[in-house]
Amino acid sequence: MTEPAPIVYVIDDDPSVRRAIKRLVESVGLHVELFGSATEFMNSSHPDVASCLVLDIRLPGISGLDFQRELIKTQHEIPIIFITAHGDIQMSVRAMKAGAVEFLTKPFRDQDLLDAIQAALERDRARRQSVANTALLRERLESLTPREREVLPLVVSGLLNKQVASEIGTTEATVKVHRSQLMKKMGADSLPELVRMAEKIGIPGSGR
Amino acid sequence: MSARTTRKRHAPLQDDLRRVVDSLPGLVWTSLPDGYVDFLNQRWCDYTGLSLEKACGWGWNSAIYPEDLPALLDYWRSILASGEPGEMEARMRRFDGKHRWFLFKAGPSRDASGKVVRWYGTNTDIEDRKEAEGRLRLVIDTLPALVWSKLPEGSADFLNQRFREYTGLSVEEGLGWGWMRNAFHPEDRAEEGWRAAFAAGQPFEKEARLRQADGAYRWFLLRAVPLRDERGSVVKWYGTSTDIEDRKSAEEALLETQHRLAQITRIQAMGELAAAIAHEVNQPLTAIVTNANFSLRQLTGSSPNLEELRAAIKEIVNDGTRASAVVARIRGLLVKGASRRAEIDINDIIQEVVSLLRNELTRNRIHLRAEVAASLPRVQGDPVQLQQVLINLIMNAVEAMRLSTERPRKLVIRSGKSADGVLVQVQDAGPGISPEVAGRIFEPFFTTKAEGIGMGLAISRSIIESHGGQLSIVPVQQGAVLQFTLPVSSDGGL
Repeated sequence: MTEPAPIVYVIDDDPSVRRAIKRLVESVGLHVELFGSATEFMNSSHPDVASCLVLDIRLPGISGLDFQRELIKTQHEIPIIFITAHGDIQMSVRAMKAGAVEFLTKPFRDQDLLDAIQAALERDRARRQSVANTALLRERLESLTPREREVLPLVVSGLLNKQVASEIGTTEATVKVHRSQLMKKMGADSLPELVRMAEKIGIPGSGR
Repeated sequence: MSARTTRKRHAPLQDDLRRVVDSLPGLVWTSLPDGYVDFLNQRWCDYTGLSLEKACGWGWNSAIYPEDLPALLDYWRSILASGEPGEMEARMRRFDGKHRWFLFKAGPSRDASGKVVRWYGTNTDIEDRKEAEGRLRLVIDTLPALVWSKLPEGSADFLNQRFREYTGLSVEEGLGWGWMRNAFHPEDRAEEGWRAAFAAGQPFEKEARLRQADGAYRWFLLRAVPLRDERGSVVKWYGTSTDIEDRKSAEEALLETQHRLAQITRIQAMGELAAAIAHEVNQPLTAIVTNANFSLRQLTGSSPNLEELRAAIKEIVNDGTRASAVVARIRGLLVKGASRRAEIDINDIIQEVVSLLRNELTRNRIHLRAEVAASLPRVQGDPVQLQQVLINLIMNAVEAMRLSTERPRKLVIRSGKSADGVLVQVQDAGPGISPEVAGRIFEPFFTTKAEGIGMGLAISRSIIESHGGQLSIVPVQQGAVLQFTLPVSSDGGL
């Protein structure tokens, strides 16, 4: 499968460090974009591709850690690799707890940075995949008839056809038809798969 | 000549006189020049229960407490021989068998030619005084302190039992100046200081470490109060030495805590400085390491991108230069501002620094000796910067000795003439500087201290070199000596 080329964003106030990282990361065939501050990064546009952020902790204006919090708050879920010239344990714990991929102390080993970037991009790919899946499922949910949408939560909550029938006031045979229809429309091969899908799009009753 | 004939010649007292003597409220007796007792008054006989006949001659001996008898007889014979009056204490048995302490006093009576014709004596009951004395002695000996009395110039003439118990020395070993010479910690045996304190004649307090019987030293507080005669001159000193080891160690713990606190504050400030420095230096280092790694990758690859390789190496050079500029800038920053030159006497600088650091030295119990040479040539220099260098050297010396418990903490600051100017040396009695450390000691960021940032000596060296002088280690057998020179001419650096 061909995916659009991922982007590695680097935010560091030191142009010399930025250039060196760009040179190194580009040598393994990745696309790199450089920024001198968080604001500069926010003011630029970001194509909808897998990406990650190499972020210095000490930055002019908003610090790397505060910027991480800002991104989480505004639901920009881009994986972050922190780099710092003078990090302490407290800082790294805070960063990792907030979901950072890695916390590297400058000067770092080149392989450590490249590995972290690979892991971050992998994580972003997975995240994007899951977002795309959810969107697809919602689309499929839309295609169900009102009656099928009524049956779905009862089925995934584990009720037998007979129980579902009595719940909505119809026959067991009718429930059987609705059930097979909605399974086909949702693209689920088995009940467990249907339950997982329902969980993903937040169907009540599926979380038991 | 027999006693009997003598007795006949000198008939005892007349009857009336005898009645007087018998009713005197005391024990009275007389003897012949050879010691033969020829008369004892009624009170004497009543007390001992002996008849006059039995007691006369040497019969009275039976009334003396056997343990006290030999000494008493020796003494009695000695004053008989000398013909001088004398007195002595001994116990005498009462008629009921109970012994009481008496003061025996005897004096001669002479004829016109000065020859002793008779001895007159009294025995005074001093039992009550003795008992009171004993009680007092018990109090003095059980007081939780060493109690003593000393002669006006300071030599001890009395020490209580506690002295013996604490020091394990005999009381004799503590008499005279033994209380100091035999019991004090060598560092506290400053005899002149003690003599001066006694000579001043005012009540005083001094602290000193006293050796315990097991060899351990404890801190004592000595308090002395003078007893004066009517003319106001000191007759005697009375005093106590109280164990203050616990208070002392509490004080020390408190000082240690304060010191730690100050250090923590300093470390915090230094931590911030270090963070700034780390960031400043790490940025170019990060770029260097990353560019160098990129270059290695390119060189090991099949088709290196020469254009990019050249650019990367060029940046490595630039960033290397940048990193060293950062270090230089920090050093410049710590040297603090522009230097102001003035004509100075280096001994003034030493004096100012010493008075500035006196508390620090006392607190660390460091004994400072300043050996400054007189009439040194004046030099051109920045007084503040030179003070900074000297403080740095002294604080390093203090630090070096702070952990040593065995060697006396001696610090010597010396000034003298050098080939082309003056030199100053700071000598400590610490563990010394190993050759490995000596090779790197002036490097920026090199430190052997847990909380040092390793800039002190680097900056000091910069300051001295900017004065046209040299800062160096002088090799010595024990401890460490750091020395700086300053030329007399002002053509050095700037």
